[in-house]
Amino acid sequence: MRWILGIETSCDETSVAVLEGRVVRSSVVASQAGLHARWGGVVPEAAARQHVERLQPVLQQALDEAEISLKAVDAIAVTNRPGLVGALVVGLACAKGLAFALRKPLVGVHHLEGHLYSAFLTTPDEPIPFPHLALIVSGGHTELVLAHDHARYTLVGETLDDAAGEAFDKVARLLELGYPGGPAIDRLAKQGDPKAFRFPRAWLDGTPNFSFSGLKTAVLREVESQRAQGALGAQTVADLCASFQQAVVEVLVRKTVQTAQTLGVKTVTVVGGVAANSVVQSQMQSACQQAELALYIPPPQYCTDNAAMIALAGYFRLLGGERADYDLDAYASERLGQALAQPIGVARKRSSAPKTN
Amino acid sequence: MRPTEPCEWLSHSPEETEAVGAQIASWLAPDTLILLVGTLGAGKTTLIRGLAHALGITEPVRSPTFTLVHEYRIQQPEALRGLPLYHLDLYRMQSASELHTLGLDELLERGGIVVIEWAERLQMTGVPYEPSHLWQVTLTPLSDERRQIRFQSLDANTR
Repeated sequence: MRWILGIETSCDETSVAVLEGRVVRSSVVASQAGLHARWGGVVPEAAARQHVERLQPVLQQALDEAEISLKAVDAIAVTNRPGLVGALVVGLACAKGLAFALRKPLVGVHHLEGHLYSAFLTTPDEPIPFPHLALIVSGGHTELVLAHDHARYTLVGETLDDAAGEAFDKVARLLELGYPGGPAIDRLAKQGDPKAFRFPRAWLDGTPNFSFSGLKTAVLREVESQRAQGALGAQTVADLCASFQQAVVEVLVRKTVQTAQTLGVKTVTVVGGVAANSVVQSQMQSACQQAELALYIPPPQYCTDNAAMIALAGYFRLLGGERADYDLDAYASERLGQALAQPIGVARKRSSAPKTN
Repeated sequence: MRPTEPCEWLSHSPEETEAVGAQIASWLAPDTLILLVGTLGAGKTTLIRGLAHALGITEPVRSPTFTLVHEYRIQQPEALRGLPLYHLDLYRMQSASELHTLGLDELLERGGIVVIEWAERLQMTGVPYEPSHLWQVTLTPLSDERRQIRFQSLDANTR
């Protein structure tokens, strides 16, 4: 099992990667950057037809960059859940076709399982540390997952409304910062005061769940009020960005560290698009250091959706003997892992922690 | 019974908005499309959460802004049991061609319940399908906490 081909088409990105064992030899992601610019800085082409158009050239490029031919591929891993079914089936059809034509094993991968493995793409020589607690944080997800071992997960906490990345995107739009919103807020916040505005933090009574909808609405009200007063100058925008970002990051960091401590886990990973945020990284770093937790955050190109992580997750499933049939299906919704039998309440450290309204 | 005239609620909290969602759920019949109109923070996802819970859906109802479509299996009442509830969000949709690529028309043809946030975007194309029931719910923020919620049936017989 030397060469693993990974295919990911679950949402916006069309991506193919080639791994040699655990080592990434190529990872190609069709970017919509040009497209976003054309639409005046907003969001993407959504789905299937774009994947159909892009998949073939992306596959070819991935093979070329890895300097292998299609015939050399030993196994194929493909995202088959969760996501837009119309988008997933494009990658799935391609993967099945290749597996059939090449007579090579096929395995279906949960998109979030791919994100879990993204933290270990750059450390192919180290064993993957189990158990570890993963914070998956992106535009579509905010989840805390306990990874006991390969393919054994427990969903510990999740957002009850909006994902953290979605809050970033919506606040960026409110402030007309263009696309992508997350990096724009990250950049502007460096010039702002994170204490200028006191936005709510949803601690949810110390449970490991998240809520960012109330924060989004609070920022909306503040932006409207500043705009009405004609006070929405560059410094105010920077202060709003910094204060909003701080509210998100504080909740992410504290809940992750506290949950790790409650569960007695020594290793933490932060994965998904929001893991690329500089303040998420710096504050998670210092909190983990203080709590004596090992921390893994992938480099930016592996934070966002990519097929390398799918190939790595698939690699371990294949090593475990898993093989999918040609009737492997695509599913819109499926949680990763079992939910906890008993919800855990994480004791709140500081009684002065502000409650959300 | 579903009112034939438009009706209105005044909500003072997310809980009351969820209760309105549950009320609307009690009027549902198979093959209904609900268009949700309202600005950021108006309570659209909150209303759908109330509606979904009334249909016996126990998993968390989250915003589908990024994921675009969430699918749930309806547990109750008996008349709807087993049908899909699709929760869509067109916030990120910029063009008519994107709406097509979303496969909206295919979801609409499965006889379940489809609820669409940011349905304003459909003005680009119109509703690409004629469901048995077409309703519109408009949420208007009046102040920080208060929301006006307006229900209107756009069914052929009441249009």
